[in-house]
Amino acid sequence: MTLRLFWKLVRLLMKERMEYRGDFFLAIAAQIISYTGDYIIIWLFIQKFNHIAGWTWPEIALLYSISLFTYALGAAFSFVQMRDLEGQVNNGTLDALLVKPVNPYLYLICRGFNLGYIAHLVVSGSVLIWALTALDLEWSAMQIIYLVLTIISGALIQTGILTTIGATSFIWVRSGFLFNLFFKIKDFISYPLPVFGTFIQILLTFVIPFAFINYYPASFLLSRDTMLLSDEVMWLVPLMGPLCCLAGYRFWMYGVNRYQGAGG
Amino acid sequence: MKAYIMFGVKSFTKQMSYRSEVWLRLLGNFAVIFIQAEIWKAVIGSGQVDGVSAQQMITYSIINTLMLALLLHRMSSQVDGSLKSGAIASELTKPLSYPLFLLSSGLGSSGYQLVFTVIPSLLIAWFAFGLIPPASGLHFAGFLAAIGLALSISFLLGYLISLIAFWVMNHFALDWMLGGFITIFSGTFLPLWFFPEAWQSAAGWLPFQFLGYVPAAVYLGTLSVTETMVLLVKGVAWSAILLVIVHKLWKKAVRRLVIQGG
Repeated sequence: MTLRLFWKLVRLLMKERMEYRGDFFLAIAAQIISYTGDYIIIWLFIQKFNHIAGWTWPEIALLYSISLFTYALGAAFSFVQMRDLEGQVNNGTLDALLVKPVNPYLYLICRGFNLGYIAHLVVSGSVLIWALTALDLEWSAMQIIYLVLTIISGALIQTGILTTIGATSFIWVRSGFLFNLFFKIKDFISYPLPVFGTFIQILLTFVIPFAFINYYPASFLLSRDTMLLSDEVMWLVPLMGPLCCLAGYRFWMYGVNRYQGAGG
Repeated sequence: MKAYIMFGVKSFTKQMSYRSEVWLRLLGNFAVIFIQAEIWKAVIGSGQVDGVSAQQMITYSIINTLMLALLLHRMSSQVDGSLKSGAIASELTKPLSYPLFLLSSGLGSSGYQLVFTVIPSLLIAWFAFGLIPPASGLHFAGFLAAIGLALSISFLLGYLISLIAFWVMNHFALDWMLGGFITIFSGTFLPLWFFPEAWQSAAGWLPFQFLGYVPAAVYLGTLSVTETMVLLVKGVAWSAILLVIVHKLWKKAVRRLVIQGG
């Protein structure tokens, strides 16, 4: 699966989507409305209470936008693909994927590359840029590089976790409820983690690495102290993404090798 | 009537096959309530904001989170499935009312949710976070009435979306939009009394407040008796308006229906 092949695939997918142009744009408009709603409710909240645990609106907007932006990047490569695995395992259609002479994981995530996440990226990208300007930070080249690296890493963490959940469908056949749980747990990182106390911070740092998606990068950019990680390790944070993705991939391959076919 | 009860029972038992996942649902609900409870504790602390304490807000969150599991507005994917597979043709030829069929199967799964996730989650949340009892017996009666309104308005909104999908053929997009409006205007997370004035009056004109804010506010007794009565009457009026709209639209939709597969 080379990069050239992937771009060709993206062009084809774009053509496919443009066949139903009205439908595509309707879906995008709907997602923009939906995510704007999520922002508005947090904004209304902060209008009333001024801050959450000392984080003001632009800071929360930055935190939330990094979470949504990295989710969109990661999920474009993994969410629908992984969510639908359950059905493919059930119907036996997964077997068609396994006989192709390419790495099944790479084929699956690239073939399913989802252009629909463009709406998430537009909404969260614009708020992200607005928040960065509103915060009046002093930008050095290092900080810009750091932000870019942590966004890539965040996307990889999201992909890694979604991949891990998807892989459970090889073992348990059903995985839908784990995805629901994923979204509920992910809601923790819409807010600054100190709100939730020590246990949650330990959980989201060492067990499910959600905190590395946005809380640590945002804290370091905003020069805020965190309870568990000190400033010195800030450059280690972007390593979490590749690590997480690799772990997810390994688990997925382990699962697919165990897969014996469930239906037919 | 007996047929509809059977559809409800069928949908209840269909959900039973997922009962091993009840634990994950309970965990999910716990996480949602926990997040909101911690946030309210963080911003309100031990005092009060606008006469509302953190403990009251936690009860508000528990009611809203659990009610979300009971609402009936998510049937559009079911209707869409029947539309695209063509199964709707056989469903329409049956000697029963299609909307009532949808309602009874929706109520069946809500009944399942009530028994297997809402009540256990309620008990867990009660132990973990504490639950304020209803303001009075009268308020509790009003709360039950408000839940009835929430069920009927959520059903009608979901059904409206499903019908619009007969034309737009993208129930998914319509669902997202509805979700966006519910997020903001239902008060599920942030109650309307904390809204800025302009937003508050906008939310007051829309039907979404009945899906979250109204039942919880009535339960807590934060509204006066007259306000409560006015709101409940408004809710009945909204149900009636939506009922008329979906009734008209349903007639048009059936005439428009083109069976695409089957």
